[in-house]
Amino acid sequence: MRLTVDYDLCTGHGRCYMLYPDLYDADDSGDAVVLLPIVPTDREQEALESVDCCPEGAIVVELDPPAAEPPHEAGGDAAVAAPAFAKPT
Amino acid sequence: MTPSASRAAEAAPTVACEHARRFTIYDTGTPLDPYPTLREIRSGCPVARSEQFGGYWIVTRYADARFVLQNPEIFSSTQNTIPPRKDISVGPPIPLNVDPPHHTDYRKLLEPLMSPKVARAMEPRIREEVRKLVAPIVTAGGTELVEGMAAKLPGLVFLPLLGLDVTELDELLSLHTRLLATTRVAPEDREAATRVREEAEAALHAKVGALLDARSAMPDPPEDIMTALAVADLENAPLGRPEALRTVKLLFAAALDTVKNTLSMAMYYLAQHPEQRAELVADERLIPVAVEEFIRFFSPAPTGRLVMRDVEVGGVTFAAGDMVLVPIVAANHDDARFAEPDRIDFHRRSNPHIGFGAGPHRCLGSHLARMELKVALEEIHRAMPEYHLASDVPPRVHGGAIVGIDRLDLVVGPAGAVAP
Repeated sequence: MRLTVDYDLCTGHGRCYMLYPDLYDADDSGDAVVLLPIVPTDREQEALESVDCCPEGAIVVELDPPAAEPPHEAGGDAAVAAPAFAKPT
Repeated sequence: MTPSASRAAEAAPTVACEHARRFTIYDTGTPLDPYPTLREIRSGCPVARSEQFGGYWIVTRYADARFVLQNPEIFSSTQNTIPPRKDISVGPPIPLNVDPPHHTDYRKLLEPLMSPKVARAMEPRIREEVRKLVAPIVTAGGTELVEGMAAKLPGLVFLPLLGLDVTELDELLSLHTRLLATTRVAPEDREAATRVREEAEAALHAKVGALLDARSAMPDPPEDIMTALAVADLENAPLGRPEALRTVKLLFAAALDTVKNTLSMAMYYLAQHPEQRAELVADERLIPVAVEEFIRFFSPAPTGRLVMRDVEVGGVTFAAGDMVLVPIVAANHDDARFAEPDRIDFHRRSNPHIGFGAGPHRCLGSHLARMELKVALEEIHRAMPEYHLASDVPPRVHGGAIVGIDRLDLVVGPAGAVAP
C-alpha cells in the first residue's frame, strides 16, 4: 500500500499528523508530509482511516502498484518512494 | 424574484425553503443548538434561498459546502460577508478577502509564522498563561468564564506573536470590541456602530503604523508577524503599509473571538455533562480529539462567497454575482457525512470537519487555536476537575460573524456546591 498527499488539495488542516503522528508530520507551513509512503502491512488499517479524517480529501491510498509498472531493480524502491516525500515548490 | 430564486423554488417547494427565505445568521437558538432552522433547511431544502439582505444562497450540506470552499475561481472571497461589508477605510482584510494568486503570496508569508511548529514552541508559555488565569478562579470558587478567562487567553497568546506586549491586553481587547462593533448589530443600528468602528480603526492604524515604521528602522528586528509585515517583499502581491494594516486587522478579528467562544461553549457543555468531563480528567489523551469534536460541533464562524460564473450546486443554478452563505455548522452536522452529528463524542474516529473552513482559506490560526484549546482544557481540568453552572437559565447566544455566548457563570466543585 502506498500513501501520498495531493498538494493541490492539502491546505494544512493538520488532522492527519495530529491523529496519526506515525504516518504523517507537518512541514514548516503546516502542510502534511507522509512519513511512511510505503505503508507496512500492520499500519494499513490506520492509513485507510487517515484518508477519512482529511477535510480536503487530500490523502491518497494506492492499494497496489500499477500493473503496468516495470519490475524494480535492486534498490529501486527508494527511488519510487522519494516523490512521496517531496512537496512541489 | 431573480431567475436564480425562481429556479430554487421550483427545485424544492417545501416549508423548509419557505423558512430559509427569512433566515439570517442573527437568528440564533440555544447554545447547544444555535441554529435549529439550519437543520430543517438541510433536510428539507439543502440548497436554499434567503431573501434577506438583498438575497443569497444558503448551502447546508457537507459536500456542497466543501465544493464551494475548494473552488476559489468560481466562488470568490473578495466579498465574503452577508450583509456585505460597507467599510473599509484601508480596504478589505488580507488574506481573507483576497483570491489566488495574490492570496497565495500572503499565505506563504504568514503560514510559517503560525505553523504547527510555532504552536508547539508556544505550548509552555500558553500553559503558563492558562495557569495564571485558572488559579484565581479556583481560589474564588467560581467565575464568569467568558470575559474572566476565555476572552483573555487568545489575546495573551496572540499579542507577543504579533509583536505587542501582553501588558497591552486590556487596551487591545477594548479596541477589538470596538472594531467589531458592526458585526453584532441589526442593520438599523449599523450607523452608530460604524462611527465606533471608524474611531477604533483610526486608533489601530496609528498604533500599528508606528510599530511597522519602528520595525523597518531596526537593524535586527524581533522575529514576529509585525516584522514580517514591515520588511517582507512578496513576488506578486503588494505589501505596503495599507496591506500590512489590512492583515493586522484581520488577525485581530480572527484570533480573538473564535477561541473565546469555542472555549466558552465547550465549558458550557462540559459543565452539564459530568460523565464526559470525568473522561477527560481521567485521560488527557482524549483532549485533542475532544477539541476537534468541539470545533466540529460549535463551528462558530460562518463564511460567504461571491459567485463568479454560473454554476450548479446541489441541483440549483447560481448566477454570476450571486452571494452564497456557507454556515459551516450546518455542514459539520450533516448526517450524510458524520454519524450521530448532534452528539459530542470524544471517541469519534472519523472527523473530517470543516470548522476551520476548507480550500485555500483554511484558517491560518488553526494550529494555534487547537493548542490554546487543548492546553486550556488540560489545565482547567487539572486545577478544577469538578464544576457546574451557577444558574439553570441558558446563556444568551449571539449570532453574526462569530457565534458565541455572552456569559457563563461557573461554580467550582461538584453539583450541589454553592458559590461562596
